[in-house]
Parts: sequence; C-alpha cells; structure tokens
Amino acid sequence: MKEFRARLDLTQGQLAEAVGVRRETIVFLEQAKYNPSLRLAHAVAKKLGATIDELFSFEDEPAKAGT
Amino acid sequence: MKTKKSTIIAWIICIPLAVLEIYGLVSAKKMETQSLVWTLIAFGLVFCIFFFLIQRRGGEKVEKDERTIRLANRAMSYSWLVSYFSIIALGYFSYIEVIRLSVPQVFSYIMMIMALSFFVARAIVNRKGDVD
Repeated sequence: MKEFRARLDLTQGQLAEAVGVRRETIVFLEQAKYNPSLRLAHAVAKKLGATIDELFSFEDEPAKAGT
Repeated sequence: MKTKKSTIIAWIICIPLAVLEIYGLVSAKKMETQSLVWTLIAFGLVFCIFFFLIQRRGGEKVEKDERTIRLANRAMSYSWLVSYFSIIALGYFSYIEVIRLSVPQVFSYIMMIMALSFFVARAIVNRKGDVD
C-alpha cells in the first residue's frame, strides 16, 4: 500500500483526507495492524488506482475442528 | 514541538490535581460536602485536560472514522466491565465492613473508575491498532 501511495506522491494525510479517515488509520493500515472494512478498503483501492487484492492480503484462518 | 510542550504543561497541572483527588478520596473518613466538591472539581479538571489532550493529539482535529469508533466501542465495553466488577467489590467490602463508604464517596469512586478505565482501555486498544 505504501508503494502505491508513493507512486502517486501522496502523503498519509492526503490519502486519509481523501478516503475520510484519520491519518493514524492509514498508518496502522500500512503497518498491517488494522483490518479495514470493505467500504474503506474499496475507497483506498479506488484512490490508489489498485485492486483490493493488490493492496491487502487476507490470510485464511485454519478451520476449526468439526466445522 | 508545540504538542510536546502542551503535553508537559498538562501533566504538570494534572499530577497535583490527581494526587489531591486520590488523597481526598482515600484519606477522608467521612467525606464532607466541601471536600467532595473539591475532589469532584479536581477530577473534572483532570478529565477535561486529558480529553483536550486526546482531542488535539498529533496536532490534528479528531475526525471519527471507523477505526476510532470501533476502538471507542471496545474501550467502553472494557470500561463497563471494570466498573461493574469495581462496584461488586465495593459492595462486598462494604458488606463485610472492610471499608465504610458514604453515598457521595461511592458516587465519586464510580465516576472516577468509569472515566479512568475508559481512557486507559482506549489508550491500550489504540496502541494495538485494532481489536479482534
């Protein structure tokens, strides 16, 4: 995500303002410490001209026994 | 740094007030109306200063986004639980007469516990970045 943002020469603050969140949220997103909602992920992807899959990776949790 | 300077000033104001508040709550055998009022004023000031600090942290105005709302909700849940168990503990210790509390003292403790536990919980979840 940071690379995509750098390509567009956007600061974290500018990206945050564009998608309507706080800068801290972008920081945690880039550090992969925050799981965004689908709406936010879509907004960020749209702003950065990428797909959600390119920006975020979702690891499958191991299935619980009996499920 | 403007933010750092204001933080230091806020701490300089808050620490004596917090000490005064804790001393007032702990030392008063029978809290009179006047001491209760001063304790609540001290608590209110500490609360307002910390609230102001959190609002202005990083020099940006707070805009509630999905993350901050999620964290605040979780912090509120933790705060509610801590307050609930604190009230149970107060009731139990009062019942077995380990402590004797007047009604104003109980109100003061509850107000303090609810607000402080919320701020502490929010700081903890905010540091983590997200809640599960």
